[in-house]
Amino acid sequence: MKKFKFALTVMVGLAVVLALMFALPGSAVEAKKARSVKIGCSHGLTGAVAVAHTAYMESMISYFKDLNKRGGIKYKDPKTGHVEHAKIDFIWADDGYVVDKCVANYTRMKGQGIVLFINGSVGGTLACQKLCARDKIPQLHAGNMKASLYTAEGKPNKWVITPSAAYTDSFGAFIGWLASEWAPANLRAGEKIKLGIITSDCAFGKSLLERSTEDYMEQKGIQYLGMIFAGMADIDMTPQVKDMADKGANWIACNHVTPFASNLAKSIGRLGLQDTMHLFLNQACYDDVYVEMAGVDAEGTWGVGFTGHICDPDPFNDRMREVIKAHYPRTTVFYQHGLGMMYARSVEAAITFALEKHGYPITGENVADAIRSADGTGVWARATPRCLIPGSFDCSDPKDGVMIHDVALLTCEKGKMKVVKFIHCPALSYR
Amino acid sequence: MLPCGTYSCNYSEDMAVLRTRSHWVLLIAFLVLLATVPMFAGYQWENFITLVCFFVINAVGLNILLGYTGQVALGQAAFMAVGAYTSGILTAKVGIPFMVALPLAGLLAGAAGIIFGLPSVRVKGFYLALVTLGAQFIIIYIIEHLEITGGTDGMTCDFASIGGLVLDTPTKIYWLVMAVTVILVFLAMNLMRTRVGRAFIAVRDNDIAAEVLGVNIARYKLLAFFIGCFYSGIAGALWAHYTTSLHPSQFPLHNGIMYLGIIVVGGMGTMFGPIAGAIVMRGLDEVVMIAFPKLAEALPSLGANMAPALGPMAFGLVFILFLIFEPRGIAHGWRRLKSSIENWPFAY
Repeated sequence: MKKFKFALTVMVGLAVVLALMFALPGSAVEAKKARSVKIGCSHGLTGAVAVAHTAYMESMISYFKDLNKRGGIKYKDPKTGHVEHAKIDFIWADDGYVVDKCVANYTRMKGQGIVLFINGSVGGTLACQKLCARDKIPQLHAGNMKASLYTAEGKPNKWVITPSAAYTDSFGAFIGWLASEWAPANLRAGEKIKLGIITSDCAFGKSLLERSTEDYMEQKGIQYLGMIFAGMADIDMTPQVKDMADKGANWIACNHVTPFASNLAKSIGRLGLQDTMHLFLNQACYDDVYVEMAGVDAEGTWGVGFTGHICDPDPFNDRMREVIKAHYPRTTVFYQHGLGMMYARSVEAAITFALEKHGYPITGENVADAIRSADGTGVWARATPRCLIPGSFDCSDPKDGVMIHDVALLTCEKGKMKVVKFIHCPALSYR
Repeated sequence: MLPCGTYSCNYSEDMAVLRTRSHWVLLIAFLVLLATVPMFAGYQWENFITLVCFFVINAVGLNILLGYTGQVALGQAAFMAVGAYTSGILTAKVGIPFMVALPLAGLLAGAAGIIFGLPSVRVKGFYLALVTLGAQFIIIYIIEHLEITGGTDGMTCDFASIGGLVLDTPTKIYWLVMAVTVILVFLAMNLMRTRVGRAFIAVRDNDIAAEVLGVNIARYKLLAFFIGCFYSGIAGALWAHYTTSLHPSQFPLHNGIMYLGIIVVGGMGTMFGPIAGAIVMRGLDEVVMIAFPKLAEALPSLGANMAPALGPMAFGLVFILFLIFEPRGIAHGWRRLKSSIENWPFAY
């Protein structure tokens, strides 16, 4: 017993020493590498959204490893005119989708000298928003909603950047397609699209809808039936589906994590309503894990995906798929990996652009400046494959550091996801 | 244990926290060290200690409630939310100065604590734990559905300012949070040496016996809830002006359980326990957040999901080990270590 207690004391002591060692500035662990650019990333690798965030993280890690193996970022130093290389030092950590852990990660990474911070939770984004602005470190995030893109005063938050469409915008793209293409082909004259939302009562779940989205639905002749909540981990959502059926819904929309989406699809299936009640899943959950989990109930459901997703026909993605596979042999979630890839490519593009503009070493302020000063052919054009196709790129306001672009309309046929077409986002978040 | 030759000759000496000159020297040196941390330690240390302070304030509050009064409470994160939103709204929307909003935040959280503590008059143990668990859901639900709180979009507030001095840098925030933490720990330490503190302990040890002796059980239980939640409210107010943005997801149930874990690991019913527990748990958090990504990089086959998943397991393991081998926490271990050093080379 005494020995064990001694061992326990030693273990706790070691843990504290380790913490000190890693936290101490200028320690051996933190020794600076030559020509490297530190990027910090905090995602919920455990907890409620682990299924998606792990995939983002895996692809970012493998992307930067691959990039560094190829010599890192190649740029022309503006001071010397020489071609130089800088490696990406990717510092990542799990925050378990818990806000104070995300803040702790950010502050620690800031102390390690990061010039860009990537994070994934809506709460974490909001909590780090002013800290990033104070420290002049741009924040790239996935929780794309109005509250995070704009300051409390309603001005664009110039320290928040996002390489992807906001949840409301991709939903808006779908609404546009629904009214202009689906309704004429599937509804009888005088019949209306009646759409309701089933989601959970949290910022992420509710982020599908803003006032501008409701106005847009009305403008497109869609009758909005309201939002009904289900618990995050609810398996049976038949009461909510029945409620919507009673209201006459022919479409259900949802923005959530994959297990929630698959349980919703199964609940519709359990009630035998697949033919009369169609399901739309927004960008966060329509992936191959959803298809696998929902099984036959995934058939004929609809979704949207970011254009930078791996579903996008781009030879680059084939190579990256191999890179991810090589690093993470057990991986199957390629759609969500595509989003992580898009983050990584955006980071690469932003850093390249910043290095070419300001030289090495760069600061967070320089990175933000490079991003903000980029025009339609600048940072984001290099970041996402769809943007490389002329005419398909629409940057709402590059000065804001936000970008609106196309999303892929997806459906499931015979157990496989299929890209139907690319549809344009109506920029509902920026109105 | 007092040094050899130090005797208590009267009641006040017996009750004094600091008895010898070396005690005073150590305390002053420690306070000077805390105050000067930003001058010699880096940004990371400063932030680490600031975050530890949030844990300490909450844990000390919970310790008064659970450790000293024996009232199980799981909703501390929600009471922290009450304090955070009160201070955020009062400063950002009503225009009340931070120094006024801070105690008001504590008072409102304390009042909320009394409301949810009312069932403690009738129920105890697991049943009371469930009631306080209800507080977590009810309070967060209310915050999510009020317009003034910004609902699920959250809200922003400004950095704290005291008499025109805006506390907008990590160092200034550190000093504010540290000063408040020291004051609150000092108050808690003294509270336990008063009539109220002894009544709390009597309620914890045997509430029937306490009642027979004339202790008003209901009053003291509710007072404990008020004080415990007051502490959480103050921590919340400081947190609000630390991040300057508030969102319901910042106060999850997970945090309430973590505070419970802190006092279990640190040692319930002691003043050193919550502080030691907060340092160890926050430190473990840092180690987990740094070490497991490195482990994943060293062993890529673990993936970005397997290695971080070891983090929560490490926490679980620490809890289990403490509950089995040192259920009275670090504080008890520290006392034993001290006495064994002082008695060395004798066994006792």
